[in-house]
Amino acid sequence: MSSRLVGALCALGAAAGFSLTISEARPVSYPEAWTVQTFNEAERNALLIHYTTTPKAAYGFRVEDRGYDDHVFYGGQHNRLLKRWNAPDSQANLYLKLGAGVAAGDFNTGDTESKAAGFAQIAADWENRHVFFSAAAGTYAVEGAMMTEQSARIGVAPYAAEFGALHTWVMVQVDHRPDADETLGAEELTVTPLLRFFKGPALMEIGYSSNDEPLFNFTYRF
Amino acid sequence: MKLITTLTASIVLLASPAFAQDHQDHQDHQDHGDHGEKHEHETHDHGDGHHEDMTSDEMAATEIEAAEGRTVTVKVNGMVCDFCARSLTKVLKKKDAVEDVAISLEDKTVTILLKEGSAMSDEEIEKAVKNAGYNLAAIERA
Repeated sequence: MSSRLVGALCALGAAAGFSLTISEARPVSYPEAWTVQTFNEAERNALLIHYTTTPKAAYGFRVEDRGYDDHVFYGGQHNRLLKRWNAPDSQANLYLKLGAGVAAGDFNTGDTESKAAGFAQIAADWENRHVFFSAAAGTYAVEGAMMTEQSARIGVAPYAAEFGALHTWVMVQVDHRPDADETLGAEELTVTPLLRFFKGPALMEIGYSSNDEPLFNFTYRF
Repeated sequence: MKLITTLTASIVLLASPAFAQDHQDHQDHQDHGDHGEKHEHETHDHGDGHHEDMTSDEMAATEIEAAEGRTVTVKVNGMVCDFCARSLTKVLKKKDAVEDVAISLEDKTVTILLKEGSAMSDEEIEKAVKNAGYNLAAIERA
């Protein structure tokens, strides 16, 4: 991994406000692989099922309950690996994630309605067997409203596990949601310490945020 | 979002490491059975009794090391995590010529055990590695 690449990734994270949104580990898998992912954090719960068609593209369906925004998003999602840097001892990735669908709910108004919705996110990560860094920035739009969010993660592995063994990471995730409505209990900036475990095709993350919200993410590939 | 929470809990139970490992082992047995060569990682004991304490991945590595003349060791750039390496095993095991695959994250190597009478060219190996999303650094044939 060249120092220029590390610098570029850091610059991307900084430009994104040190953000990186969703901890969607490996948004593009290997060809013909299915991936099931669930994300449960801070009044946001999502299920994403996607199928990887080529080493650079995956397509799936996403349902996301956005509690603070009082609606549920249903739609298709496309994940694209824009660029991967494979170095002898590290790997870096740049991903684009796009989604489009329908948002249905009360939208904190009391009137149930459905609106067109969509999102776009750019995400980058770099890791070796001991250190992990990622950053992402995204925009979520529903008819008449647009929200931006950014997040970043850094992690360290307390030990370097071999293939097939249990891998453990200690991580900290920072989320920045400038459009968060604090009157509803949301916070603009949250910090979430978490533990990531993975073994075989399963990955699990458990954490607890500064907003007193538990985090639980799960990924299974087959 | 009770539905998602419930689904998540169900998936966790189903995908517990023990289940996942068992499922992989059974899949491996099926794959090998299709080619008429049963390669039973769980029950194949070479008489030293060690295999009872080994994972199927460790057994694969041991058995591949013992198969002289049919192994290809591939150095791969970017193979830094288990998830990455799993992609390589999945892609390579789909190849007709491949009997088994062993991974060393420490050495960044993939050791391929070829079936009796089968062969894979360097170009085929490089294409498979690239299809899994990685870059080939070197190939060594035993």
